Amino acid sequence: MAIAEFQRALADLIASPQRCLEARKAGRVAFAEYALTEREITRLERMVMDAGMSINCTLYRVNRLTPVYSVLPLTCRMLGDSIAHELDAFWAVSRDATLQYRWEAWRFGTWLLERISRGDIPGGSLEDVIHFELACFEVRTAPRGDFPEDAWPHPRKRILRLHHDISTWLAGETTSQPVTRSGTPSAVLLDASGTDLQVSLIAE
Amino acid sequence: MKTGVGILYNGTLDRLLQEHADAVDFVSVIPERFWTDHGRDAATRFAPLPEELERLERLARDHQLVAHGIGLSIASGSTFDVEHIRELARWRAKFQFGWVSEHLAAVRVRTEVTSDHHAGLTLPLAWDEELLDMLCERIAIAQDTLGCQLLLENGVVHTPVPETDMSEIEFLNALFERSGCGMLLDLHNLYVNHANQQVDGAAFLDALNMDAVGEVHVAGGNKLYGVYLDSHSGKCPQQVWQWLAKVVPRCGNLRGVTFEFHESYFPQMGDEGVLRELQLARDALKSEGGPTPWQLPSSNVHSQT
Repeated sequence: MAIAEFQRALADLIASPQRCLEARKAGRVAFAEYALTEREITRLERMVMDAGMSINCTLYRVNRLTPVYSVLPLTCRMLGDSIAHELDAFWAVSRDATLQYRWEAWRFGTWLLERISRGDIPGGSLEDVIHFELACFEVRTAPRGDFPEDAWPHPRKRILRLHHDISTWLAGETTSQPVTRSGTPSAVLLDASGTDLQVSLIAE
Repeated sequence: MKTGVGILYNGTLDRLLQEHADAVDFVSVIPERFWTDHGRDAATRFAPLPEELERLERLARDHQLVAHGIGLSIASGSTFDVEHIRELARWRAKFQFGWVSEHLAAVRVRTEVTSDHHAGLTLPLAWDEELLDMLCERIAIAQDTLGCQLLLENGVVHTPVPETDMSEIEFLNALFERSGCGMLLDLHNLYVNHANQQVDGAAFLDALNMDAVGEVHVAGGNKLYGVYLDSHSGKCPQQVWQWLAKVVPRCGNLRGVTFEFHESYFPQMGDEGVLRELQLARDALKSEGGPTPWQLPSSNVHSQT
């Protein structure tokens, strides 16, 4: 369907300022990979030159960052200046995006964990923070069901083994300070069986 | 339901809606915020989010709810998600939504791996006969599935598609006439297009078939890099209120005026700021020659195609 192909080409432009710049230089050749009519190519040629295309690209990035940051705020802060690079790389390969918080955050978190395991980026406390934030979201969104308070396993409770000091992380969460690595192994209980998520350190 | 004033729900409103329940006649909710979509291949595709569902049930006890969908992407060429509409219909039945609105938008596109890739923002639409035909077919299915009229919202555009078969207003009027759907007239979206694209808002409203308008949205925005955005940042521009006062007497089927703001702006607005905007909307409904009370028809309105 012509509409679908036009929208695919337009979405690819909006997702990539670099592609927009290249299309401005290359002209209609830039759209050779799409099954477009002459009219649609002409439209895209004019649209990519429109000053409004830069705001499209900006809004795209804001909208896609929102679900990731909502679920993985500490992870984003820990990435520091590299967050833009990591997100660009993730979005370039993520061709089945959804703005549902759960899936976007899970996909980005999983993608980062794979990069850590391959040695592409340093792990350490970042790896633990990703696991921690994904687990927090999982228990908060799990079905409540009809479970006794002390039931185990419980869909809204989880024990997470970590390799770094959780108290440092929580301080980072509340003060927006960078999370520092302490090297102290620990385990935490995540409990969302009540109205709020409770995080407690388990002595080992 | 009489023509009323409502608010688009967000998590900062729980206390205000309890303490000032009479400030609104209805609460508009985004259904997709209350469920998880596990994807078309999943055995159980849609799962309610427990805490969000509890919120919705609490809201429904005290308020008339209406639905404002964001995920259908009815104008996507690559996909038409009937199962999504069926889920909307189930929630409509469960929570007795007063009406159902969606965006006249394409947000899903086909990629190598899916026809449902989220484009990150609403794509500019080409106001062509081809799109009109496609939408009329889909609206007929959607309204049959929902069992009620669907209201579609006009959007914001930063890069209009050039040389279309019709202007936006010609397209919208043709769509309402041919499909039988209604319009959610977002006056702030119109204001954004007026501010950035020099769209003549007054001419747009003069030409619009106001009998199609079932709901009006009002909101505020702010500028980023010199571009005015539909950021729902609080106070509505004066122009939006002026347009609202002008269109209300012409809307014979208006069911509600809804104020939208993003929750991140609540600290700036506070209860007082939110209540003030709601009162301004209520004042506009009292204008001379305003809409007559209107009930959601029990027989519902279906496609005329």
